[in-house]
Amino acid sequence: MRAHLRSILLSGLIAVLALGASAFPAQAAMPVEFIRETANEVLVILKDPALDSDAKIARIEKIAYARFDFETMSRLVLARNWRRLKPDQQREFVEQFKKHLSVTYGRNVDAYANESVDVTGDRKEPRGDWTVQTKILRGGPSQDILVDYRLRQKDGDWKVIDVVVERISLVSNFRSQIQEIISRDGVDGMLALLRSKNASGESILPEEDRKPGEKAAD
Amino acid sequence: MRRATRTSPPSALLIAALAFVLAPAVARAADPAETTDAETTAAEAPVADDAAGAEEATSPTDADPFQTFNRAMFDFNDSFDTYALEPVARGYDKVVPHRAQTSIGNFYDNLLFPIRFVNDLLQGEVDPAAVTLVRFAVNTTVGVGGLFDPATDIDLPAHRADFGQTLGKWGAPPGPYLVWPVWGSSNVRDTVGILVDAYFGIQTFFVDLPILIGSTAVNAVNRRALALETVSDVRDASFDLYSAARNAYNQQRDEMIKGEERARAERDADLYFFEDLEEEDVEIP
Repeated sequence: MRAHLRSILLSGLIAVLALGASAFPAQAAMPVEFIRETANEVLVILKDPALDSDAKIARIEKIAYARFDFETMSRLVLARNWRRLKPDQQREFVEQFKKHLSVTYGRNVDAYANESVDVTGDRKEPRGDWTVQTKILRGGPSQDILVDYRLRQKDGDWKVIDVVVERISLVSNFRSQIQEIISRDGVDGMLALLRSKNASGESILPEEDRKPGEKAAD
Repeated sequence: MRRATRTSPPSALLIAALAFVLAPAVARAADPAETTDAETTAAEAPVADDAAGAEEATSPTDADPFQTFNRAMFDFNDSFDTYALEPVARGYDKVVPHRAQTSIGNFYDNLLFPIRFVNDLLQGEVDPAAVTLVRFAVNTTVGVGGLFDPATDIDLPAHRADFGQTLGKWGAPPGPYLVWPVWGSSNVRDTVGILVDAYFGIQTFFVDLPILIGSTAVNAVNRRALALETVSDVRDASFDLYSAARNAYNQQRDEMIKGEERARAERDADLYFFEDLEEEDVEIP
């Protein structure tokens, strides 16, 4: 028993050291599995004939909430503007950005019934990040779409911090937009615009289901 | 890993949507009255306390000295799309089956052969030039005059090549971002490229002007119909469609010219630059 515990501690220590030293042969498969698993979960939900659109959207939102690091994404989108925001403004930005992404990307769930996802490669990035390259196969005459996910570890779990669709980085694209809006309307104007944009799209999950940090349904 | 020259049909579709069609799209967020300050670039946030820190904030690709003109063109394109192109494309979409649209798209794509072939050669891209040549031969014959794309099925996917890209690979800088009526996103270099390609293309086919205009219109409507969902998705997903379109155009053109790896390295250096500052605990104004 004791020996067992010690070997767990030891392997934990080795894992930590390996991480710190950026030696990661054992680590390498993890991001790919994370993406594969997430894609499969999403596809199962999309193809479930028992679920209506709202139920599908709600479930996919939960997965996104658990697997995207919206705070890091927000910091990257705001870049040096991040520190210009007061803490409550930062919180609001993260919240609005999160809501915006979930609402817009959940909206067309019914269009994706025939899709499948292939992982086509992965690579290590600076700062311990990892990129997993995928191809969404849409079936029929529709063309495939290349989607790369950039992942970063947070509290031991991989989280998505950028999505690159057909070579267009979402973070870069939103950064351009947000900088443009801040330079025109200021920080308050930018937050007001996000609020009104989100209010015009439907909020799909009822408020009580939007608890921060909630885990995805397994 | 795929090379930049690969830029396959999905890319072509997205570029079509983003660069050509997205430009005539809603800039709901943009209030023309507030864009009159032409000198206000994205870098100059209206925070008075730090002129000094402003210069490193914005990627050079966001530079937009002609923004007032561009926004006006963008708004024009937006109205043109809302009141003319999109309604026509929606009607067309109801009448013309999706497979036929794909075939018509293939047909026009196949006609780009001379432009792509010559530009592949000008860029010194011998293998892609060979692919372009074989694609044209296969799709024109087996693919019934270009209506079908059997070349992609035998692993010869399409890649785009144009004279703007050639100039870029020869070292020409893009110059300021420009939006043209109907055409949409461009820049100084790519505008020269479009004119050269168009002249060369017209010389090659020497069709009558009315046929050329009619054919261009059919192509535009067909492309717009194929991009109906993509465009409405992008509209929904954007806070400021103008800068979203500009950024997307710049990112994709950058990659077509510098190649995937270099374009990505530069983009990431820009995206994560501020994290390095934070780690080093450099004071960010």
